[in-house]
Amino acid sequence: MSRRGLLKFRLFVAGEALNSTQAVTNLTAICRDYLPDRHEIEIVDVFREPLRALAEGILMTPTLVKLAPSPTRKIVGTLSHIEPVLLALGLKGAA
Amino acid sequence: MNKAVPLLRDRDLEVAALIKVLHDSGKRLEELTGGEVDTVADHEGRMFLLQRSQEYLRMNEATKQAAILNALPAHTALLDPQGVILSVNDTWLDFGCTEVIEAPGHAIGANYVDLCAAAQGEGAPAAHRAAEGIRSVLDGSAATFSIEYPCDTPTEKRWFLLTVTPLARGLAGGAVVMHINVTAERLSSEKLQASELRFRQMADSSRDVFFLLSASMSEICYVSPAYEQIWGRTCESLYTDPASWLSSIHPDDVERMTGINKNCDGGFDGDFRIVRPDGQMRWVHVRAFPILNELGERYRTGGVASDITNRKAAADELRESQRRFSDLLGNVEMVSVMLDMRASVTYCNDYLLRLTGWKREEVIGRNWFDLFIPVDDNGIKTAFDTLLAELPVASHHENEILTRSGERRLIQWNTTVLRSATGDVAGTASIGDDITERRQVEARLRLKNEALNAAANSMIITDRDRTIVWVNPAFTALTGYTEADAIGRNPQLLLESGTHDAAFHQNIWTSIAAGTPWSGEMTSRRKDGSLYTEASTITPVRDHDGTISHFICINTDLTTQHQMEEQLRQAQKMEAVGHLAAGVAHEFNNLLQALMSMATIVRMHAILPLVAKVAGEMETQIKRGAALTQQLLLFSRRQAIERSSLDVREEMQKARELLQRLLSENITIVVEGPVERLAIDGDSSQMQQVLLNLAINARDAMPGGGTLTLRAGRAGDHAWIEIEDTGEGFDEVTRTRLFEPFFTTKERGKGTGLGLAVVHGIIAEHGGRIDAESERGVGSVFRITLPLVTCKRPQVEAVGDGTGESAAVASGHILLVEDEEGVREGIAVLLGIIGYDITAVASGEEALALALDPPPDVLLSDVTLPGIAGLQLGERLSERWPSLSVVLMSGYIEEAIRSGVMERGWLFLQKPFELKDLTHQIRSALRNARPNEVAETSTRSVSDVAALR
Repeated sequence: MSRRGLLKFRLFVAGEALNSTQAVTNLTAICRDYLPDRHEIEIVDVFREPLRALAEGILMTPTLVKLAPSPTRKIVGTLSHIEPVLLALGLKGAA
Repeated sequence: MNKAVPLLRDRDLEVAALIKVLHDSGKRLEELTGGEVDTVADHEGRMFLLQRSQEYLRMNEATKQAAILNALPAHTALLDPQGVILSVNDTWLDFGCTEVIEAPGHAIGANYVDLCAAAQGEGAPAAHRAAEGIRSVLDGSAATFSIEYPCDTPTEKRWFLLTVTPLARGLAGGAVVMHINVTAERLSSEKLQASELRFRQMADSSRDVFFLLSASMSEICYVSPAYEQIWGRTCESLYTDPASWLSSIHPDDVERMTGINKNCDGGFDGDFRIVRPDGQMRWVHVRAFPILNELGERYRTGGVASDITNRKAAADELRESQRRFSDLLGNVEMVSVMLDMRASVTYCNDYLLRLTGWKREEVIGRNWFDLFIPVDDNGIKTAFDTLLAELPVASHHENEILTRSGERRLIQWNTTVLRSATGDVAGTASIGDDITERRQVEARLRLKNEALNAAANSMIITDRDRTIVWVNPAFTALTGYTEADAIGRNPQLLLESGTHDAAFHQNIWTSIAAGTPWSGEMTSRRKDGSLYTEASTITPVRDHDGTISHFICINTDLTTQHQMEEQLRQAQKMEAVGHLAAGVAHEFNNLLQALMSMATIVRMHAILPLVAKVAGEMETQIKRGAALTQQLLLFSRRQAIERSSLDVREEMQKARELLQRLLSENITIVVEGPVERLAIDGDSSQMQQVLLNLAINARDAMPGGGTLTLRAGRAGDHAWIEIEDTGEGFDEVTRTRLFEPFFTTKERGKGTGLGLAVVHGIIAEHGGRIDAESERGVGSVFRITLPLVTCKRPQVEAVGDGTGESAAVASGHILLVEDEEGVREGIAVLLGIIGYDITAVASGEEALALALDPPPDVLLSDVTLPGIAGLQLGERLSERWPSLSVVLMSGYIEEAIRSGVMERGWLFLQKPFELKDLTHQIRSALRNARPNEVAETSTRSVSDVAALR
């Protein structure tokens, strides 16, 4: 296990809508490639649990929330552009 | 109206404006989010799907639904709450069943419930139930509904499962109807059910308990009803308390069984006892086995338990019976052995061990055939296999067994198949009697019996009461009575000839009843009535305690012996007749000779023709008398001789053919020569007799076989024949007596002693000789010499040349020796008439006493003289006067003398002789004595005859 510890994600999606599906696919790929064995992903369907999105102030889906390590970051979109995502998550450049 | 229109128009305008805002907002949001966002939320958390995502989701959902529906193998339709078909999948559409429920045309828009309810025909009942079921699901009164119904095509049997499920959970919002083809499941289930049924029937009806345990064996999966009968407990009690089976085990077997229970991974096969609740004890036999899954792991234990209480009891009984049996067999004097199916010895009694010398532990468990049967006996193993294959009630046979030391004992066996209590063949049980000695005794008895049967003596065995119990073949051959005729009869009554009186039989009986054997001659009567005489010996036979139990009568038939004696007497009689005839002939011929001389003188000097005629008639009658005596002599020899010219080669060939038939094959016959024709004067049948007698003698000298050689050849003017054997030979003493009548070296009854005497007689009669030579152990040779006819035999018979009557005036001095005065006178007168000088004397002594000078020319002498006989006289006078010619005369001459005369070259006159015979012989004699004067004498004779007449 890396000294940088576990990364916890929560991905808010809208059922099986196109962008949401892409976001799930891309996040899974990023975790597999960059964070093997040190990530947790929770996927929240806003159609099924609209109140959770409200509670966390999610205005749009898909939205990826990096819960840990802090600071918390939110990334909206399909996560198709890998470089900016990695930067935003602190997995590249800042390292 | 006016008011409403503007209002409407206003609202419409506002709606149109808001829709534009919505549209624009959506477009703007799309722009702001780069098309990467699906929803946006308002402050209350309400989600708004952006236009593009809405379209995507809708399309995606519809595609998915259709794909799923179409992918289902079931024929699926979607109904609205009223039962109207909203949607169907491709399978439903393709479905071509003729049945009502899903018939073609049940397409979107039709009310499926109504269709089913209205169905008619074969499938109607199922369709009606389906209609009700669908209704109950649609109105929410049932959660789901399903029904299996048959739907056969013309070619196959099919089943379908109809399931109805509500479209949305908890809502009365329609339903999904599916038809699934369950034919395969149905068929396999039917098969399973049938198989289960069979198993159950079998398990339920079997008296054995079938059971299935879980892998841990702590749970009972199945136990068949027989459990209740055997264990006396309900199956239910076992299902609820699986451990109860352990508590049912008999206390004495618990420990053993719990141990097995723990280690029972491969299976179990064994007997134990259980105790039923009613206190009864039962023996059960359990066989358990693991049932493995595909991975080879045990997941069940199966097994069968059966009640063997009765079998156990039977086995105990069998053991007890075997024990009693072996106690019994242990004490008998018979061998007993039991073999299992593989011929291993499972039991043997002490007698077998005593007989064979083996110890019990060396025998039990060993293969019977390996240990006891000689390797050369293959038959008995076959008999064993046959016995086990054919299972007769009992089998009897005899065979030899080996003792430990290798001695063979013959056992007579009685074998049965041995069965277990259940009736299975378990092996064989045999009881045998040692009959080795008995068989030896039997063999000896058989030999004796055969000897008795083969004996030439007739034999009778009677019991104590003189009833015949046995006769031998010689008896039946002799008497003509069969065994059946004889047995049970009294021999005295059976063979009564009337020859012997009652006292004779009483005497016999008294003797043998007292235990003394009786011997004597007895005449009996055959079945055909003819009589025979036999020498009998009757001996009492005593049984083991000395009492007379039987009589045995051994007889020698005397008929043959009597016949032999008769033959001998006949031969002797003939010999006597021969001697008598010879004597009579001698006397009689002398008498005739005297008469003949007288008659001749009278005839020659008769003046009257009548007197001459009467004298001639007398001469004829005298000649007839002479012929009569000659016939008498021939009869006394019993055979007249018919001579002819024989070829020795032919005679030998004939003999060879005869001998080949006559002699046994172990005698080789060799015939050598002669190379040329050898003619002899003789009688063929007599010559054959000679060769045959000699050959039989040779055969008897070679009892072990050998070679008989017949040889012939020529030596000067004689033919010779040799008969040679390679037999025992004989010594010098025997050789000198060989040709004596009744001399024989053969055992009594075999030879007459006449064979060689006859040979000698015949050869002598043929003017030949026979000699014998022998060497002990090497063989014998008999050599015969016979004169050939090319060499003129001396003519014994009187020769008449027709001129004999001419008693010519002759000169010469004749010395006449004749003891009979009449004969002497007659001959002297005749010779004087002819013209000879005569000196006549009555005996040889007188003749020898004469001092004659010059000596006489011819000696004419009788053979038989008192004192010196003719032959000796001739010898002695010939010595004194070498030029003397000898003529002997006789009325009867023995062969030896005749041959003696011939050997010396003398002449012979058979009395009575006529004048012509006399003059012929005297002239011949004179020619011998004075050869120079023959011609003169001869010429003179013609005139002499004329003068005498």
